[in-house]
Amino acid sequence: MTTTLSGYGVSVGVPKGWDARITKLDPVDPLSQAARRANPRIDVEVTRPFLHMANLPLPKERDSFGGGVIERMNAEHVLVALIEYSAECMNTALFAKEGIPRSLTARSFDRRALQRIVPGQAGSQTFCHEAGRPFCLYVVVGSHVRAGSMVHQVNRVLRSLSISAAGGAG
Amino acid sequence: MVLLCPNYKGSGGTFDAVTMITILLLTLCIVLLVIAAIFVTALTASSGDLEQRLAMLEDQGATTTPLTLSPRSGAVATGVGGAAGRLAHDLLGATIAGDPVALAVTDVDHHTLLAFLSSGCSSCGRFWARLAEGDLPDLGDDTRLVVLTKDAADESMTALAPLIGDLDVVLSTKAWVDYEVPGTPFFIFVDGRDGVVRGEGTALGWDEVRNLVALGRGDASIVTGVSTASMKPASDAERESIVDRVLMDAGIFPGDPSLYPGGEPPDLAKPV
Repeated sequence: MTTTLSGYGVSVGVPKGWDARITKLDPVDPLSQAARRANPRIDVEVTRPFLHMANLPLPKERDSFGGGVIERMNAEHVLVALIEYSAECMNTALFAKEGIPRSLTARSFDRRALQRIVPGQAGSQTFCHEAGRPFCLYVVVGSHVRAGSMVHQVNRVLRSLSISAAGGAG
Repeated sequence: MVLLCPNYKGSGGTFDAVTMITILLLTLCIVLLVIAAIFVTALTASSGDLEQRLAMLEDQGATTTPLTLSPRSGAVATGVGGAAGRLAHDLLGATIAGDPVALAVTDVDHHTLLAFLSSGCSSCGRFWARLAEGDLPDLGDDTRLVVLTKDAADESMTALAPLIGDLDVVLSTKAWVDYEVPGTPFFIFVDGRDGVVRGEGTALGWDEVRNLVALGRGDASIVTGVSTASMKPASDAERESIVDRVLMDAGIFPGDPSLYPGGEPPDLAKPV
């Protein structure tokens, strides 16, 4: 039985034994937020949520691309990260691909695709958009050699993923 | 009788009298033996019946005790104020910022200590203070500490925010319902591999929490300076557990003035 985690227009099934967190960081400059409340036309920093799911405990403090988690991964561990980008990215070539992948293969993973190189690990990065929102799907497996046997866990999570147009900007 | 005394008529009178007396004595002995046998049989049967009745009384005593010690189904009292053996639940809630969180407690290779705290309970104050100072209990590398409060709708966010600070706290009324938490502070130790509660109870300080964890793990080594030999025997811990439950069922939690001779709880500012 899986639990469903929802927030900021993202919904996902959490497999047994997995942690999941949808996090939206506070804007770096709180003064700009106060200014925007006074005048909504003021252009200020907008933060977007990111989703982390992993078959190991997720700490509160994490970087969007898994810093704080990947250092603690062993060969059995998997991290799935879905990072939303700001709306301006929608019309760029990087995010032109439509739809977040719902199925990866062992070939999707490459050691060079890691944002931070950790020996033994491999990553997969897909920049795309869905429901009018630009995303990067970043997946890290603890062992490149065993990616084939771990990818089914990732695909199970991806198939349960649902994105709505109501995002988490703010 | 004729067969037994073939010489009754033809033999001398003295011999016949002796024979008769012997026969009478023998008969008397046999009668006495029979009576004794009957008496012993009756006594044995009575003793068996008595044992049976005692056993029945004991059974009745166990099922009709007037104390409702634990409302938790299938719970077995163990550890420091703990009920164990029931199934654990994974956690679903949110951070104080409203970010959704799902934490695995079962089907994992680590243990989890769930600390149920609230903003309104005075006994939670020392835990909040110690947590805010980063003074976490040394529970061992394989045990994860998760601090839980009720949802924003059931908690005072104004009071909670300064207590939480940068702490990783999960707001989840669902967890309180799932784990049937009777009040705060309350601690539950879960074995992630089996997915069952290994111990639970209330506490006034980290030392007691560490005891709970140690007993739940069956490992005294994490209780600093306390060897297995000097720990409470299981019967003492069980008695303590029963007393804790009775008190909590009556609405009396740690720090309640009625628990102290002068009606004054110990100084919460002092480190435990």
